[in-house]
Amino acid sequence: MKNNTLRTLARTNEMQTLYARAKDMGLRFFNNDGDHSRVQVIFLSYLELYFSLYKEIASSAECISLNTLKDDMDVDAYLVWRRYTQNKKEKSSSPNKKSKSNNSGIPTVRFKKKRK
Amino acid sequence: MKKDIKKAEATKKATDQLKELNAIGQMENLVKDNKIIFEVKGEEYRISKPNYKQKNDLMQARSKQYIIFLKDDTFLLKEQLVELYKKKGIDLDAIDIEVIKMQKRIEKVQVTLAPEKDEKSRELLKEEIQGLFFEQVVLIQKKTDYLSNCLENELLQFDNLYTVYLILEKKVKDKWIKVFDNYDTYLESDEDVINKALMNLPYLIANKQVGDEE
Repeated sequence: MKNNTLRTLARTNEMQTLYARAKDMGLRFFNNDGDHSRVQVIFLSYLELYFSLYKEIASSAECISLNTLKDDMDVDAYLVWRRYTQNKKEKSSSPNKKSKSNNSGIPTVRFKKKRK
Repeated sequence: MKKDIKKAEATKKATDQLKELNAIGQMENLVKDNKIIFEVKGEEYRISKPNYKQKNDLMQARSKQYIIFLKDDTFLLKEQLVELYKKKGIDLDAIDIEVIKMQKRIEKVQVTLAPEKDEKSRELLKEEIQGLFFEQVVLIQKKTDYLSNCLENELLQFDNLYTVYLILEKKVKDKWIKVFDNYDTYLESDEDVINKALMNLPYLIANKQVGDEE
C-alpha cells in the first residue's frame, strides 16, 4: 500500500527538526497565524505523532525502529500493538473496582417491572 | 538481457522516487497556507477558508435549501431510505456491523505484525491487512452508494457547491477578485473550474459524507 504523502512529509528530517525547535525559536510552519485549514490541522497531528515516535525509538521502545517509520502500515501496526499491550497491562494491574456490598447505610431500593 | 532488466528496474525506482518527491512538494504547497491556488485553462483561481460573513451566508442558504428538500416528497431522509432498503432485503445496519468486525480482524493481524521479525512473515501479514482493508473499503463505499441519494447527502452536495460559490476568487491583474455574484450564474459557468475547486475543498474544510459520522 502506498504511503500517505502528508505523513511522509511530516516524518521528514526537515519537518521534524523544525517542529522540535518551533516552540523555542518561535518558528512558523505556516504563512497564516490562525484560522488553520483542515490539512494544516491534520499535518500538525502527524508532526506530533512522528515526533513522539522518534522519542520512543530513542528510548529503545519495543517493536519500533527507524525502519518502522518508513512504512505507514508498520507504524499503524505498532500503534495498535502499543494500545493493546497498554490495555492488557492496565487490566492486569488495576484492582476490581465493583463493590459487592452497600456499606453506606442508605437503604437500597429495588425497582421491579410492572406485570401486565 | 539481465542488464536490460536491471536498467528497467533502476529506471522504475528513479521514476517512483521522482513522483514521490513531486507529490511531497505539492503537499508542502497545500500545507503552507490556508488558501489554495490552482490553475484552470491558464487562469489562476484560489479558495480560502470561509470568513464569518460567508459562513453566515452559507447557513442561511442551507436552511432555505433544507426546507425546499423537505417539502419535496421525492427527497427521502436517510432513515426513510434505510427503511425502504430493508423492505427490499438490503440491511444497511448489517453493513455497519460488518465494517466494525472487519476493523477488529485488521487490528488482530496488526497486533501480530508489529512484533514479527521475519521478513517473509511480515510481507504475508501486510498482504493480509491490505486485503482486509480493501474489503472494508468496498463495504463502506457500498453503503455510501446506497445512501448517495438521501436528503442529507443532497444537502451536503449543496453545501459544498455553495461554499465554493462564496469563496472562489480569480487573479485579475495581481488582485484576487470574487468570481461570482450570482449563484445561478455560477452553476451555469465553466464546470472545470467548479470541479477543481470542489476537489481542493476537502483540504480546507471537513467534508463529511452521510455515513461518515460513525
